[in-house]
Amino acid sequence: MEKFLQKGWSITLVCVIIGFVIALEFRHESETAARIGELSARISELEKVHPQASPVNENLIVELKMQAGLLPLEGQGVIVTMDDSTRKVRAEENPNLYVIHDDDILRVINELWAAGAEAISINGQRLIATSEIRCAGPTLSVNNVRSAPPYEISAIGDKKSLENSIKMRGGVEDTLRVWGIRLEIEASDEIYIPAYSGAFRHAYSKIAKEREL
Amino acid sequence: MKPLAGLIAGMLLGSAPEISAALASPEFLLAVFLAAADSLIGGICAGLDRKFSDAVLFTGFLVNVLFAAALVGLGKFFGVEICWLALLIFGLRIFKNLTTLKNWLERKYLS
Repeated sequence: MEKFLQKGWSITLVCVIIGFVIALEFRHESETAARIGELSARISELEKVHPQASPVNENLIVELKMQAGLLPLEGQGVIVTMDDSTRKVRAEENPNLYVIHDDDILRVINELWAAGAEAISINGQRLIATSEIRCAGPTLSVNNVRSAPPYEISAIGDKKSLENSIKMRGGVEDTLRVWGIRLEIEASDEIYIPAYSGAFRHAYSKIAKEREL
Repeated sequence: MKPLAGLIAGMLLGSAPEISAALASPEFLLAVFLAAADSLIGGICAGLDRKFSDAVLFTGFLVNVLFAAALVGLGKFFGVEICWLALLIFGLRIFKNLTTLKNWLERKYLS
């Protein structure tokens, strides 16, 4: 056996190579580990510098969805119910004066926004930035969905302010009462406003660079 | 004890900072390692059969490493990991020779 080892220079050579490869692989391993540590340290460092640049910012997404009307909301507020007049129309009068028009609804909505409403829906249709409120024959079209009277307008906000904004003297309620249009306001602590469920279309608009105007 | 000294010498050589570990691909390192292990065990087995020859071992090792290197390069070029073929064959031969070695030890010390 001893003689065999003396003779086997090639065995020694092969052993040298085995040792060489093992050492190289060890170094490769530790260098890889060091590089991983270095890179992850760099990632966390960059995330500290730009917290908003991290790939998923849940809070921001929720905030934007809330503002866009894509989340159902609840909270204190008022429900304004509007219905056509029950007054008998006299022969010489225009019957149009006694039914609810889009202007009447728009005035109520306008008052509610002005009084600090945070979210409004009409007959379950959430008002978003592009919502229309328009007469469509005897019905009302909101978000391209039609509904018939009575119209139930829900608004979330400070319920006292919202109620007062409608009820103030010379305000919307007073004006509409002249025509016999019934308007009821009910303040509540549990108003539910559904999310906008339609689609968004941007066929003509493109994102532009900000310009000085 | 020359082989052991050789092993340590090789390790020292591999640890030298002048030699960049990043140059060698892990597949090639593994192929060289298995070829060397195959030659080592094959050499021991041949020694037991009294057929050992330094020249045969060295040329065999050289050819195996060269062919394995060619396979690694080819695999990289074609995007197919063909170097596994070399690793598989080396592994199989190591196992075969290990069995021979084990049988020889068994015959010598147990029976």
